[in-house]
Amino acid sequence: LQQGFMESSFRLGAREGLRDFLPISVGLLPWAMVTGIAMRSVGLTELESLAMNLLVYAGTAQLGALPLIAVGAPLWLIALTALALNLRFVIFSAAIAPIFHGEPFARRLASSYLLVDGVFAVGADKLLSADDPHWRWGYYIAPSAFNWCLWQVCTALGIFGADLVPRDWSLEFMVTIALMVMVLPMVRTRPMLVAALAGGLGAVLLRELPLRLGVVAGIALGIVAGFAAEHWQQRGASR
Amino acid sequence: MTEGVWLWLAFVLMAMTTIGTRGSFILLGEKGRLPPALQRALRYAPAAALSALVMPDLLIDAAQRELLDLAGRGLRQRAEHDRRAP
Repeated sequence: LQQGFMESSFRLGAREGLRDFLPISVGLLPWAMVTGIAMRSVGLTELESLAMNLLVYAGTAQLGALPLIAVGAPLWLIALTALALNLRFVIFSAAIAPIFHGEPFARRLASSYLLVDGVFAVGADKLLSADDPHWRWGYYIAPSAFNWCLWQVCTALGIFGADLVPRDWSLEFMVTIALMVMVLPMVRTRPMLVAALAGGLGAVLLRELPLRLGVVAGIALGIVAGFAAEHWQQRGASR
Repeated sequence: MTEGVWLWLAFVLMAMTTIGTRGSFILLGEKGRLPPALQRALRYAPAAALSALVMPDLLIDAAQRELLDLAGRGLRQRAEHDRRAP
């Protein structure tokens, strides 16, 4: 009886998790295909593209690193850029960690690899307020695994379909546009806009620095500027 | 372009940032807590990083294209003018 109860509560969680996640997963499709095409367009082979996708499994970091890989930037800069683009996950991880207390290490490791924006955004509230660990595990792992499959399949479509894209399309520019499309929804608050502007302009002004250090300096500038803007905004509001 | 072993090394390093960030607190268990100020500051990292990657390409390339266009138009007008003037 105990076993049956466990299974059904896992299954209930899984079903509800999938139902909540399904509507927003549609947005993933074009995004994954663009990432697939973009990897090929900077010169990665099919195998390298598939491997990058499996190992890194972080669309933003992958797209962000591609311009650097294309120009043969130093490894530490590629890693640092990926780190900057992945930093938001530290916050997600901190927020969601309580639901994994008591889970075995293997599950926590798998959950870490699979943690993505969409599942976190849709499910964090329900996960943190649910008491049943079996239900929670189902609710987390089912949409996360589904997201992984969907991402791998659609990226593969882009990787193997990249040759069908007409030669005269500027694919390098497509990477730039894809990255830009990602920034736009982020800059809805003023401090976020300040962070983006400071980061971008800093990188433009410092672009002559060796080893593309301007990018790193721009990122640091952007974080500081965004944080400062938030601080001033709050001070202004409290006055 | 980054190639061969270096490329694969880049993939591994990037994978480490994925697991490192996503797993940071999930793997740490109950030991870790991020200072709230740092947590707030980190929220600005993605926007700053994306923009730092995109804007040089966008502004500089666009400005260069614009200049080339202008120069081209100027030359064409000059040629037109020369052709009309006897």
